Amino acid sequence: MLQQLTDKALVKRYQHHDLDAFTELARRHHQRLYRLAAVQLIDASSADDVTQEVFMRALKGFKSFLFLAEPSTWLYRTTKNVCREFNRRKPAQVEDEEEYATGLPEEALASQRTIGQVRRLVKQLPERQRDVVMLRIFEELSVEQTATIMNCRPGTVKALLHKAMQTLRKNADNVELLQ
Amino acid sequence: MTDDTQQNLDELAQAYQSIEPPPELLHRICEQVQQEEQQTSSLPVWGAVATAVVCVALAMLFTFDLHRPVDKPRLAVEPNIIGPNTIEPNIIEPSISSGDLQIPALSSLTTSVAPTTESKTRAQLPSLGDLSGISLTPISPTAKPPQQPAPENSNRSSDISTDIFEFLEEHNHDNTV
Repeated sequence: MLQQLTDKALVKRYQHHDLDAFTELARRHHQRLYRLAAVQLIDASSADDVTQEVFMRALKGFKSFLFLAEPSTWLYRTTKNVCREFNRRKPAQVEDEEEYATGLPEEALASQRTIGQVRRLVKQLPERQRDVVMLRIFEELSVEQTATIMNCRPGTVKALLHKAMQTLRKNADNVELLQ
Repeated sequence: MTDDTQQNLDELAQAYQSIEPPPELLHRICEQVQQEEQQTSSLPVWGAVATAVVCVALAMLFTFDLHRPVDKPRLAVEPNIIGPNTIEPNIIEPSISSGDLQIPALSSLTTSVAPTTESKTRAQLPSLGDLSGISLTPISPTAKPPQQPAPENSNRSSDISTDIFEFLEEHNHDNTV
């Protein structure tokens, strides 16, 4: 029943004190938010904390949500803000990912490697271009949704995406990180 | 965009999509959400209890206040009533009484005499009823102002101050001896 409802309908139900609707929202979006946080954070191990913090903020924020944008857009935007706060708190101390990854179980190690690879790619891009690549290409959001999250116009998203592709082409050798 | 770049980007996107959160993350989020919701839902209960307590206290206060006898002052502080601890600035009680050997403060010596003489002067003034027989005549501008009689108590006040100084000198002499 709840699985068939849209995000907006779920938020509306939550506003009428239906906590199950909020749980369904968390189930739908927690993976995406976790991925976004894992790549954007300096310390990828804090991605769990960031995801939890985002949903705690949503618990309060959705009570007075005005539906001017999609709830998922609100969640992405909040994730970006929380990541920025976490990065500000933690200086660039976990740069040596290889050293950090030692001692982790095999599955977690593989996940950390993938995060490291994606991060190395996006690191060579300026922040705005990085956001566009992650939201538009990796998360497959629409241009409008990406523009809303980034607080800019759809034209700016297209321009930033074009620039990001140029940068990636220029550093074509560096892009071959997966091999 | 070259084919290589596009291919690498696609592979990266796939790798990105394969990033999985720990399985217990959703469970933790749900737990935390329920805890938070319980805390926030218990807040109105505490608020209602606190409001009820305050209302009962106020009701009791007003009930006792209404049953208070009329001649007793109400709880509210009226601006014109000076409380028992308030010091009136213009009233200085005379600190020297007959037979009292306590030395008054030097600053209060001169001022303590004034109320005594003033009260006496007021006592000598006729009451308003006695003045009813006096006829008022208009005063011409050329007429001289009536001569003020010399204050009767000027000698008396000087006598009092002389007495005080003598008393002080004697007392100081006793102390030094």
